[in-house]
Amino acid sequence: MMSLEPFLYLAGFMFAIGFAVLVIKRNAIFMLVGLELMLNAVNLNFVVFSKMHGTVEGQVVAVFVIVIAACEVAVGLAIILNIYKHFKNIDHHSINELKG
Amino acid sequence: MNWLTILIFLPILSALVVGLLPTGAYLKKINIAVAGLQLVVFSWMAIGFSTDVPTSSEYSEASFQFVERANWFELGLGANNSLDVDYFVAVDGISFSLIGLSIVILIIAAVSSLSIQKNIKGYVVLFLLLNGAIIGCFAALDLFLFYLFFEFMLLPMYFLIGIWGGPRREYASIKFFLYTLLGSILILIVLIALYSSSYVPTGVEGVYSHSLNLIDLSKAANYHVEGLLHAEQSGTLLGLTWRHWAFVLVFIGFGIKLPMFPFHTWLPDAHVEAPTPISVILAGILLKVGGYGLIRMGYMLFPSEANDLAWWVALMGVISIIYGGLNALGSNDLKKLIAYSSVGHMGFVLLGLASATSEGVLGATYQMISHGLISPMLFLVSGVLYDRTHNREINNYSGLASKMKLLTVAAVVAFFASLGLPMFSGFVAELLTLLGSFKSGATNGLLPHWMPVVATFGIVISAAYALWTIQRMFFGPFSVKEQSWSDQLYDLTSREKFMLFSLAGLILFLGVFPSFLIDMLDQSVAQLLILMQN
Amino acid sequence: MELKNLLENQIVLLKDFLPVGVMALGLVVLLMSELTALKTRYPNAFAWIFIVFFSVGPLFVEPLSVLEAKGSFNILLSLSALVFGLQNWSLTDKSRQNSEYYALVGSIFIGAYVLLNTSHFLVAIIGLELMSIPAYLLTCWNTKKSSYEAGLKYFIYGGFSTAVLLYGVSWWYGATGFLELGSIEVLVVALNQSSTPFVLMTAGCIVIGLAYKIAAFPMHFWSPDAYQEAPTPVVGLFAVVPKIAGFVFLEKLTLVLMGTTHWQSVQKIYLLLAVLSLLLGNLAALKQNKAKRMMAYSSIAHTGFMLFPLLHASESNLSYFHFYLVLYAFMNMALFLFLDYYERKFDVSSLVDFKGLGSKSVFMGVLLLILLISLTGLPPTGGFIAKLLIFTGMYEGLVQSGDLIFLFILILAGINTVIALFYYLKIPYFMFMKKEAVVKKINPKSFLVVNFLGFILVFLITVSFFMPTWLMGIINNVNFVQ
Repeated sequence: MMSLEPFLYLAGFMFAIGFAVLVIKRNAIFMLVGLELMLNAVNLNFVVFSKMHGTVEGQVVAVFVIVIAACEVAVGLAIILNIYKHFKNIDHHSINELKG
Repeated sequence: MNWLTILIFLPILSALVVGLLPTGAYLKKINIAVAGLQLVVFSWMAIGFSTDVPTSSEYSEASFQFVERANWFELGLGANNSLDVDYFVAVDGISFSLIGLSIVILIIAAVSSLSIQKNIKGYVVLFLLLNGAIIGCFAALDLFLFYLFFEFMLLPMYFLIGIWGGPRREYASIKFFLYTLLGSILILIVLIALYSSSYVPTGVEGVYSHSLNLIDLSKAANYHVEGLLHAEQSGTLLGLTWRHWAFVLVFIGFGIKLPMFPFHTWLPDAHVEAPTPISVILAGILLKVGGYGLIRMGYMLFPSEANDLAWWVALMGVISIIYGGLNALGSNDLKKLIAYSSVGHMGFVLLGLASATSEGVLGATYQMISHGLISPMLFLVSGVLYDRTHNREINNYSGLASKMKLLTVAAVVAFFASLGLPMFSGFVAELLTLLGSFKSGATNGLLPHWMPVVATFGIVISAAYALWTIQRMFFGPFSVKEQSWSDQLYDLTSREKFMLFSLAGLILFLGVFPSFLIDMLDQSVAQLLILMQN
Repeated sequence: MELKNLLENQIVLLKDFLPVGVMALGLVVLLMSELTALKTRYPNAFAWIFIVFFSVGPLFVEPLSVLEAKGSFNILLSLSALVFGLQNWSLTDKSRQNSEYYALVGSIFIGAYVLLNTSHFLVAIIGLELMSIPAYLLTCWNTKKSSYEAGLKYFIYGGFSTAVLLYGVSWWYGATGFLELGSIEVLVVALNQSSTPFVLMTAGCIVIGLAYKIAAFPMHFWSPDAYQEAPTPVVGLFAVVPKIAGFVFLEKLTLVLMGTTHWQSVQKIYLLLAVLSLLLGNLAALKQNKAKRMMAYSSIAHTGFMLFPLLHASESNLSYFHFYLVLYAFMNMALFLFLDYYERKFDVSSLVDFKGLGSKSVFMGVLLLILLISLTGLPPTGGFIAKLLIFTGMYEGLVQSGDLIFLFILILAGINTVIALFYYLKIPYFMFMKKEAVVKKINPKSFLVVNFLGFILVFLITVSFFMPTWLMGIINNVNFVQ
């Protein structure tokens, strides 16, 4: 059987990339993509551990996380759409009316 | 019902009633009436007050009079602990005389408040709440209750300065509040350490409780062996035991209130901005709460630690005396001068307490009463001038004696009393304090001789500024800064005569017949000294 | 026989789901009634539907245990729903007369209920998301430019913290093989086999994820913006409901972690979060000029305060923690009720707008003053007892562990009380000490219900000073860790 470790490294790598995208990118859509990447890294982790422990719980979580991610994206896009309507762009550096 | 309880709750209940009444000038008379009624109750109590309470090796309920004790709540803390808080009020000589002083000052302040015009209802309600909190603070023997009243004084005071005060009232009131709150947080930390360390038998075999009862806490046997404040606890922090630290915190906490150098800076601001009646209360009573708290929570609970640190306590006292005196000498604002003179005079309280001799401690308590009468009188004098001209600059006045004879008499009496001339109460207090601190150097060796010597020099400074102020303002040829003032400067009204001369009478009485007050204080001071000298 | 067993099991299951079922039914009823003519005929009907389902729903947990005062946080939830419903009912506003508003809020309640009553990570995550996603939308409710901005910020932080939390949970699952926090001993054994840096990373991820819900230091940035932009009654919920639920779950996590050998290091995370939340919350609140924004920072500072007992989670310290949590809930419910009142009646949003309002409504002014005193933690209010207990807990930590860090906390918390006073006093300062500059329009509507609710809440807060025993009695009877 193939070792499971590489998958964990891959997941960690994906999480790091997602995080980097979230922090570096100024475009709100890209930030959303970063979030998705992070959540998918989590899914990979859960599935791998589920296989490792031989329990099904991890896979159940993964399914739920997919649902959660879908909900978040739906709401997130709705907000971004309205942001575009009001600010005429989605660069989060230029969205800074609230301060303090 | 206990008389003390009536004294505390009469003003608080009146405040609630006044809150429901329609506003109007008559409320100010209700305010006076309440304080007057308290005086009647107090006089009745004074007749029954025994000056001959036997002292014993430690405090017990028998050391106090007018005891009322009822269970308030027992808060379960975790599995086997509970915090027992009692409604426990009682007085000994020290607190009884301070309550007497408070009531007198409150009457004077209430009379002086008749000139308040703005938002009368709010003023009277806050005044009455302050009244109740002050009496409660002096009467409480449960630390929780004490702390409740101690904190409860802050808020009415904050609004009384902040709404009815002078031009910089907002700054002064918030500064007053923050300083005092900082002090009370330090006290709160000690309070927590005290009740967590205490381990008082409840009477039932094997059941102990955490107590905040001052009498219980003053006995070494009532502390848990592992508690930080147990007398034989070996742990130290920066070379001082936890009990020493507790005393330091209490000392700073009440020192802010006292006020003691370098925590005094709120006082000149608060005094200058407060309306006259509130200055009177602030100088006459609230500063004494600091001294009283130091006696109750510092010296009664940590007597040996206090003696270990006596040198520092006295040092702060001496610095306050000199620093306050020099600042007063340099002040041009009359109220500021009086405020700094308060810093100096309250320094004697610290010096006297630190000496741990019967003269010194007696002098310290005597000084609290005496200063509680003298500085309100000085503030009233400055209030009279301020009412006329809305100006308090010493340089703007000269030769007032020719126009305002009675005011000059009152001012001279007040300043002479303040500089400690014989025949006035300040003389007795400061003489006793200095005697005590000289004796301390010779007997128990707590204080070096130079301290009372320097403090004596402080008296010289206070003589300098008092005489100089009188000479500048009241004597010499009449001149005021603006011509229009000279018409406004009429002599005392009958209300002002009442306030000033009744205070003057009391000051003279206590100066000529000191034994009247000393009898009252003597047993309580002796009881405190038994603890301190062990 | 087998069938009977199966049925009984099903009934037990059903009973557990009953509260969620009632609340979910509430959601359906709310959304369905939008289709009927209810809205035009009875504009307030939604508020009543909300009250019926959501203030009763949480109490359906083993109905008897409610009488025994168990599960008091569920009662708190129900109380919060009641206050919210009445508040919205009495302050009728066009934008709040529709079912989505109540349905979204209802979803927050379901999420909070789920999070409060579970010790399973998966269920907890569902609960967290049930609270978060409607919260993003509610933040944008006023459909202004700035509210979308607040919503976006809230969303980004929310999504990020969810991802971090989930990542931590995935490693936790990998290390222990369990997603259930109930069996502490098993988990402790499993965690003790892992290395300290690993546990630190895992616990750190989870704690930081939860820090978002309780608005603690590194994840607090959303809260001032969201508090400022969301409708005020909803802000009252943000400050109370998710925070309680998040804290209770954090407590369950802490009980596992403190048993492990890594606790010494994990404790540092808590310490950092607590100290920085307290300092940053209080210092940032000092320079705010918007009332709701200031209160957001004050709420962050309170979070810091509530994290302290978790540093030394002894039995007594946990009961202090619960006491503070309950009082915090009361105080914040009341606080935003008052802010909403002033916003509706006098059009107040900045602190300066409070000028001279003390004489306009003396009753509410004095109540608000008492409330702010309680938030500062001065007697004679329940806030003082709560703060006293936290201080006591820190003192016990100092004595029992001999760790001087607790002394440091004690002093820091003391200083922060003074700082807090400074900004809390700003409101009464403007209300009572300043004269009104311009006569602004006053909403002539009667606010009797809000006055009454405010009075009841402030009364409860004051009573818990004079009789702290009743509240402590209830709290000590609750079994929090199921």
